[in-house]
Order: sequence, then C-alpha cells, then structure tokens
Amino acid sequence: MTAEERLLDRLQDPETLHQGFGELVNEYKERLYWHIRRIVLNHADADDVLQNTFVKIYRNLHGFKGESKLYSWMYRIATNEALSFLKSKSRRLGVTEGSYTEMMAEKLESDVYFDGDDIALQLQKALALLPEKQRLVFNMKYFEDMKYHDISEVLGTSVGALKASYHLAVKKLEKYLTHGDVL
Amino acid sequence: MRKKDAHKNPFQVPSGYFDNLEARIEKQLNNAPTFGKSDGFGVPNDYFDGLEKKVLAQVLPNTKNESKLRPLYYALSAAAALALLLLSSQLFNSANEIDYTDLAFSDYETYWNENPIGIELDEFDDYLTLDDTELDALYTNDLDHSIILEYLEENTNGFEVLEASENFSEQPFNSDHNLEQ
Repeated sequence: MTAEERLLDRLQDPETLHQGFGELVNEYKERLYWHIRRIVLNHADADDVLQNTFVKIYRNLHGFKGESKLYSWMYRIATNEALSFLKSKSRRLGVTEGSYTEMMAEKLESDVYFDGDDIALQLQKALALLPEKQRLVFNMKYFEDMKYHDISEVLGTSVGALKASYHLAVKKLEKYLTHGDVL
Repeated sequence: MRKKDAHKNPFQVPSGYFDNLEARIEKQLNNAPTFGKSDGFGVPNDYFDGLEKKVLAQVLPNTKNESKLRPLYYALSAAAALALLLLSSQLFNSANEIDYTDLAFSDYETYWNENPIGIELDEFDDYLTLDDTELDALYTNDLDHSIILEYLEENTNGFEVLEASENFSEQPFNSDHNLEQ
C-alpha cells in the first residue's frame, strides 16, 4: 500500500477524515501554491485561490473515485480554480483575460513578493503573452518538472498535443526574449 | 615501469582541493544569478506554517470561515462607511444651510411656546407689517422732536395734558441716551 493509498483510506473514513485532511494539506500545500501562484502571479490572489482549492477538495473527496492519482485530481481542481479566478477578475474589470494577465505581469516589478532579476521579470511578461494552454504547459513542464503523462491527466490533453504546445511555447519565448518580438 | 607510469594520472590538483569542494560549489550556487528554474516569486515569512490552520478552519464545522467572510466583511464595512458619510454630510449641510421653507407652522409654534419672549405669537404679525418709512424712523439715531410729537399725537390719548416744553428740549433726541437717566 502506497502512502497516497493510506492517506486516501484515512480521508474516506469519517473518524480519521479531519486528521487525514490535515496531512493532505501539509503534504500538498506548497506544490499547489506554486502551481496556482504561477497562474495568478500575485501572492494575495494565490492565497485566496489555494484556500478555495482545499475547500473544494474537502467537499468533493467523496466524489474522488481513484481513477487518477490524488495529486493529479487536486492539480486539476487548483488549475480550474485559478483559471476561474482570472476569468471573474478580468470580467469584473471589463478586460480580456489576456489583458488582465499582462497587467498583473507588469505589476510584478513593484511586487514585494517578487524578487526575480530582469530576466525572470521579462520571462513572466513573455509568459503572460502566451495563450492560456501554452502558458500552463510551460509552467508545469519547465518550473514544476512534471512528466507529460501527469500534465496530460491534469489538463485532459494528449501527451502529443502537450509536447507540441510546450515546443511552441519555448520557441515563442526564445523569440520574445532574444528579439523582443511580440508573440 | 614505463607501463605503470603510463597509467599514472598526469593531472594534478591543488592540495586540499577536494576537501572544500562541496562548500565552494554551495557558495557558487548561492551567488549564481537568478535564471532558469527560479521564477522570482516569494511568499510572506511563515506563510506555509499557518496555512493548515487557515484551511482547516474553513472546512471544519463551527469554525470561522475567514476567506468566505472576508468579502462580506469588506462589503458591510464599505456600506457602513458610506452610510456614515451620507449621514454626516446631511447633518453638516443642515447645520450650515437651514431652509426655513421646510419648517411647518406647528414647528414655529412649538418653538415659540418653549422659548417665550413675552409676545404672543398672534401679535407678531403686527411687527412684521411695518412699512419701510416706519422702519427708517425706528433705526434713525437722531430724531427730530417734531417726529416724536407727531407720533405721540397719533398714538397717545392723553397727550394734550402734557406740556411739550416741559418734556422736550430743543436739542435733538439721541436714541443712545439711557432713558432711565
């Protein structure tokens, strides 16, 4: 029995649910946080989305059938929550999601919780210009070192399509960072 | 002998090189420019330490739901602040710009009864119907005694028993004189 299976057992038993859920939060909080943070870019927003993600996970635990890995399922919830957050935020401001993300990337320079150098800043600005899917794939592959198979489980896309997306994203980023070309 | 020497490693390293190699690499890594996998994002100190409590507080029954309540709290605070602002601006405006047309007659009446000045409200109209000539006469400092005589003649029944010469000098009457002197 793997550690994930043992944790799932505790989560499915009402008597050990709360303790098990505490363990789950501790085990996955950082990984999910960084995944969300790279989508929403701002710490306060990431904190809100992360908490909502865990609340959703808790409320839907009974619906988890174990057909995918627990962490892939949680990543999917976190991704959906972060993307929904971007949608509602941009709708409230009356701008497109792309414009909103670009706006947030521009603000990174003055963000107290961003201490990247100029290259890291330029990379984030370039990433904000990518289509949503390419941005997600790049972040999960490049920064989070996830395997294509796992990314495929989270995003519900074939491994081949993911490889193509990643390749395209890298090419566009290289072009932007070396020539400053608009993507 | 030659064969043995051929297998000898011809390269040399400074003495103690391997002893502190790990420390030097670590130092280099710490000083390396931020590039590659580092994305520059940071979090507040101890953010992850308190996260479990925050999340559990949201999902466990009978605990405070901070994240869900926060927007409601902000909305209520904003509404309360707006209400206070409107109320205070109304009070401020009404204190400085009283619109008498908004007062009902009953309000005057109540005020009058609570703050008596010795005149009946019904009589007040008499004071308000003075025309400009009469008001001018009231506010003129130097009154000629002929004006006073004329007034007394019109308004006093027993004037004929008085001797005008005994009561008025030829000097103009000054309204600033103390009448009791």
